[in-house]
Amino acid sequence: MKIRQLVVREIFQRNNQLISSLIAVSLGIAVIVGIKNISLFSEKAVASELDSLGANILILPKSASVQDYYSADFQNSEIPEDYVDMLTNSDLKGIDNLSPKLSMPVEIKGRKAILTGILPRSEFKSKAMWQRALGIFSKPEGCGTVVPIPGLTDSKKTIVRKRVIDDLGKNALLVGADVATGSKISEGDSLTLLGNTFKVEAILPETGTVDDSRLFTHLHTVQKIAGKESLIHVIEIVGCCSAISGGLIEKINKLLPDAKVVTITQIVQTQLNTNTMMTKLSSILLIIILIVGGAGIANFMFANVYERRREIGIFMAMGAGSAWIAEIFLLKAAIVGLTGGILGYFTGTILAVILGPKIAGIPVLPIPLYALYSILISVVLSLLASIIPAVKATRVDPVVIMQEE
Amino acid sequence: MILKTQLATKRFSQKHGEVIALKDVSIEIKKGEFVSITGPSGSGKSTLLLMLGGMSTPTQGQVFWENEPIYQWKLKERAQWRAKKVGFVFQSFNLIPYLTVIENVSIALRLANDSAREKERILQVLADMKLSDRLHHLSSELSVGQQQRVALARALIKNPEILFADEPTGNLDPDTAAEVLAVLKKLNNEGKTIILITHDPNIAKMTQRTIRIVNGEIEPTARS
Repeated sequence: MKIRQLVVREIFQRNNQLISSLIAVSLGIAVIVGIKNISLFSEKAVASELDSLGANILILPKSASVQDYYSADFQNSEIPEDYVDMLTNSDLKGIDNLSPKLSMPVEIKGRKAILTGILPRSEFKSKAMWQRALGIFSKPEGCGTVVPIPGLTDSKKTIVRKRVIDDLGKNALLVGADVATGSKISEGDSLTLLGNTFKVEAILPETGTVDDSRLFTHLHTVQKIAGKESLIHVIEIVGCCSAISGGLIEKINKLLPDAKVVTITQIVQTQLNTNTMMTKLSSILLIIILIVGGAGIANFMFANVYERRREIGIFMAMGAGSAWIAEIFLLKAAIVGLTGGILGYFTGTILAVILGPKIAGIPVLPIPLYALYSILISVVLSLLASIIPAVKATRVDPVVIMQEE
Repeated sequence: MILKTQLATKRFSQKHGEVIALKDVSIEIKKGEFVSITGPSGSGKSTLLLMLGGMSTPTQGQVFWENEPIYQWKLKERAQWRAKKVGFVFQSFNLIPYLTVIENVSIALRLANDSAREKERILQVLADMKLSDRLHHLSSELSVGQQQRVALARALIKNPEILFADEPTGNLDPDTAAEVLAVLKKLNNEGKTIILITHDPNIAKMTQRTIRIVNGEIEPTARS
């Protein structure tokens, strides 16, 4: 008879203990999986919301200020569009959406507005040199990667805030809310600006910023109208906040010494604070559950050792050494941990998927990788919590076998 | 001399002071002997049995197995010695309740690292104990006599050189007790060294020699 068979027999012989210990382990793991699952999707949702705050790094002409950027008045100071190539072809990590922009004043139906040229993603993709740099549109791992979440991610809002759009025709026009209302413009209308005819693709939602008074079209169209071929006013970047704190600005400065690189501190700080707070909260909960769960398993194993003192004494009389006796308890802990980890993963995932939308207002999906983490955590925790009880088992006084039952 | 103690003393520290369970016990057991240990309750018989079996370290003195001091061996060596050379039989049988008859016996062979012809040997020893029809029964499904025979089979499967029996007939009816004693006598006739603890003077008389303990000390030769 193998030791494994012995342990399994013992586990099934004490059904009540097995069920109660499995419930304890499974619930602990379920809570961890549930919280991690919900908090991961919450982080994604928060990252998505934070992302809509817009760019947090600006690359401006040396002589321009942040105020010029907000007023779209660059007073004929520009930077070359080649800077976008230099950024995308560099090995800089932590840059999300790059958005080169050129603005010029226009008048529409007697109202002043700003015509801003933006570059759609399709333009980046069409450039062979940039193909290998497409990863630049994805934040690195751990950077609060923004994933579109159905029901939460507003594509029009993203366009307004980040000037990022997948495709934009040379004569397509996106119109800010104020301009549309003031000038009575609707989607599908045709507009003539500075002798060029545009088709209104979309009316953008109100943002309460200067963007409401803007009209967006293809960058190259604006460059042509303004007579500023291959020139831009600003490159807006959504940078990974941890990369920013890790020296991204200095690296961009080094790459583009003739430009001014500034961060929008408030946005970066909000992103950093939110990420740090969520990570801390999740970690504190994890530690509490691990301690409580570990104590529960240790308690169960101590009780098991106490209950089996006579049996341990018999094994000693039969010639079992300390290692063999410790092994039967550690093997039991591993089996309970493994089973509890699997049950806990499924319970936690089901709870997260059901409760996530109700508690956090976000859709939650199963994360298969958590099954591996659940089993690992559960088995390691069970083993660690059982070390002292197992050692105690090896020190049982064999005199118990001489006592009458 | 297969086993001997030399001025072995065992003291236990308790809340209300120290208890001397054994005091300067010196005994010698020859190979092939059938020795009984008698004495009133609490006299130290069981403590002596555990000490002889390598499971209770003397506070003073030493226990020798074939002239080697067993309490100077490492714990692992002593466990291996018990697994291969020593068999125990107890008054309460002490079978593992969640294992079947065959598994209770099998585990003893596993601990002795002796799996050669395992199944064949187990079936043979259980047949010798008239348990062939109870192989897959749990101890709770057996009579007390059958349980003690399983305990004997478990002790004998590894062919030990010495067998310690602590009141093996204490929980048995007279007929079953006689059966168990007959088995022990047969084993002794085959050359096994047996040390038997008993309260019953009639059983003690069946053995070749009796050692009597009173208050942890050996009483001057009771019967030799």
